[in-house]
Amino acid sequence: MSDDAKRWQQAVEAAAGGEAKGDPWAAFARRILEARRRGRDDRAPTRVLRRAQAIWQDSRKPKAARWLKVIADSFVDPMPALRGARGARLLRLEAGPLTLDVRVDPRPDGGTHLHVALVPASAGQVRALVAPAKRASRVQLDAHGTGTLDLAADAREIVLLVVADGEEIARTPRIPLRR
Amino acid sequence: MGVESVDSLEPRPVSTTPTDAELVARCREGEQAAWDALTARYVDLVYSVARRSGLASAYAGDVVQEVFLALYRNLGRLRRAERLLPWLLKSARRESWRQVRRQRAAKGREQARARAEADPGRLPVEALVELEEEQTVREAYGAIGERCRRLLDALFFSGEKRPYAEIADELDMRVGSIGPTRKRCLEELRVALERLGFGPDAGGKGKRR
Repeated sequence: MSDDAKRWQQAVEAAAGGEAKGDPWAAFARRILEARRRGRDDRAPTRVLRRAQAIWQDSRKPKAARWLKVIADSFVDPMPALRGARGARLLRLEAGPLTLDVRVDPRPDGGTHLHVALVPASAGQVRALVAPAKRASRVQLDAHGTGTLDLAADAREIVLLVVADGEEIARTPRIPLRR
Repeated sequence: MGVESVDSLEPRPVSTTPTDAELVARCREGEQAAWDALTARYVDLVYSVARRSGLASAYAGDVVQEVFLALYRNLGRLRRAERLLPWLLKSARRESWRQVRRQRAAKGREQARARAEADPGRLPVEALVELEEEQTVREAYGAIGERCRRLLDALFFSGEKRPYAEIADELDMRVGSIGPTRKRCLEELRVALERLGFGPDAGGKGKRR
């Protein structure tokens, strides 16, 4: 055992026993003992650590969730079968097995009427994040996976989230509500 | 009763824990395990700062959340990741002070009066030095084995002298092996402290690298 190791061991035992020695090793041992005792008094509860660790996942949800990709957008490419839907915008988005159809209808009062259809219907619920107000609205889906939502006139764009068991599993890019 | 060999009294190699800079770099690469390790390393430190600023447990938890949220947002901008400890101490102190002021405002005290006071909720610099020491000891403890931690706590850090038989029973070990194990564990702790740049000097103060 080295000299340092011996001095350290003697110093810790003396400090723990309350013996007051004046050499540097004794002072060092006392500081270590005191620091350990103080540190043990203020330990963070496990739930505090878990919350801090959850910041990672919470902040990365959009990356963890799948992005729904726009497959068809009648604003960009009017589809023959949809030409009769005067003024309405139709979108189809897909991510893996999920398909989300969205119909955006302007209302006479300046607001917007949304109609969504999720396939498969059992995949989850749909939530809408509305900008610029940053409001969140739940779209109540029926047994067929379809539902509607009315947005106020100040709504400029939306992001739709597919949520299953409280977790976001997919989201759309920003969808402008006006041309 | 077995006889301890001389070899068994030598300290086992202390586990090499990643440095703060390594953990921050791994976080930047998107490794969640690195983030978990960083938060586990420093959660007690940040919580201690908040508690010693006079905050109740629930508010101290909020301080921890705010500080780690700020750290997460700044991961890409931290220029000197090896200086994470002082960064966290400073952030925790500032956030604790904010919480103290918020509580005062909520209690209806005049904010002007609160400002005029001499920062009673702000931790003095000496307290930060103590907290830094505690963090170093915490990390050194983290580098030695769980069995060693429990034994040293039982022997030296509980604040009372306990009979070996009681400790042996608690730790499920032979009374005769406590002495040699104690030596080995103390040496592991000394080596771990040394690696963190913490050792005796003229004033008995340690200095963290």
